[in-house]
Amino acid sequence: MRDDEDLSDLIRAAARGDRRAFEDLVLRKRDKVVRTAFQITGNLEDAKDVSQGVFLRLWRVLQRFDLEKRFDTWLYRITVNAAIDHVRERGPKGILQALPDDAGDRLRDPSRGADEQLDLARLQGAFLRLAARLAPKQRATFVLKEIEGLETAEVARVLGVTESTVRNHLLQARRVLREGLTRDYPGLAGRSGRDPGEERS
Amino acid sequence: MSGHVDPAQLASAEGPARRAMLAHVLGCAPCRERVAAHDPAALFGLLAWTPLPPALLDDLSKDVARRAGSDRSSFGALAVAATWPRRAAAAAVVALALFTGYATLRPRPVAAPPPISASSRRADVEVKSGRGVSQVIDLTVGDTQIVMVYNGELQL
Repeated sequence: MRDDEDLSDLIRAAARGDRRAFEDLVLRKRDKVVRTAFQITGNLEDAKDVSQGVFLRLWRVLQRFDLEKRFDTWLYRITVNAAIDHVRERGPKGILQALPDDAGDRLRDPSRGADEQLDLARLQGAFLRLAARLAPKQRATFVLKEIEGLETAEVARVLGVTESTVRNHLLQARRVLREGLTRDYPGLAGRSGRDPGEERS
Repeated sequence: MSGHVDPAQLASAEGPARRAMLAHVLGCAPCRERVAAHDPAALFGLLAWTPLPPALLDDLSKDVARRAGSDRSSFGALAVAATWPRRAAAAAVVALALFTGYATLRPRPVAAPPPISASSRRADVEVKSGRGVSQVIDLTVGDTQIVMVYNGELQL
């Protein structure tokens, strides 16, 4: 999700040590950081730990941020690196933790019938299970490009790779996820009952 | 956004245009089915709307605020603590120098190294050169003998 609001005054104040400004900055960016960390670690508690580390690091190094550059790119870079490091330390067999059961309910549109609604919690669960098969950089690329909605050039800047590498990671990630969805979750987009992937897990 | 989403356009869209298409797909079952038929992985773009537990976000804000406060103050205290002994030591040296007529600040004489002995024992290196070109570099200084020999067919 892009956020192009001008935060330079806030960043400048926080960098000078203004805690109130820093807390405001955390409030504005926490969704983005937690969501990115969650999609990479697959676990809400891990995402919270990672996010806490990201913001504390931000507090310590904010004075080094170049205001000529895009703040979100910098923040995403810190977040992705921290999340990947966390996954590596924890090991690949981390506990998947989907969203709480009522997460999908909060997006329901009461004017539409139950059959018309997308169960976002089920979609999230499917992503966490299938994305566990991706390499960390592939997963991070997919999260930044497809879920966070960053443009290819910005994903490349965040990950410190070329745009062609981003396209390559994305191609591989889409293939793995597409195959998994087709095989294990054929009814996810529509309105059928539970999918075989959910029964297996 | 009016009208339905073309899945091929969604696949190539970026930025705000893509976000607007996804926002439509989120609430439109026929579009979701078309997108899923074209590329089911594109549905994961809808996870941008994943609602995060508000309690977790609030806890995060509180924890970060608390730890940032103690972090900054403890860093400050550590910095002062780290500079205090150095300042005290520097002041002590200056005071001592003033009372002793700068004697403590004068460098002490350093004993000169012994002269290099001409009779230092040295190993004899006999190079039986093969057909290749040899290069012998003798880097011996004092009692330390270093001889470097370069030859692919060397026999010592």
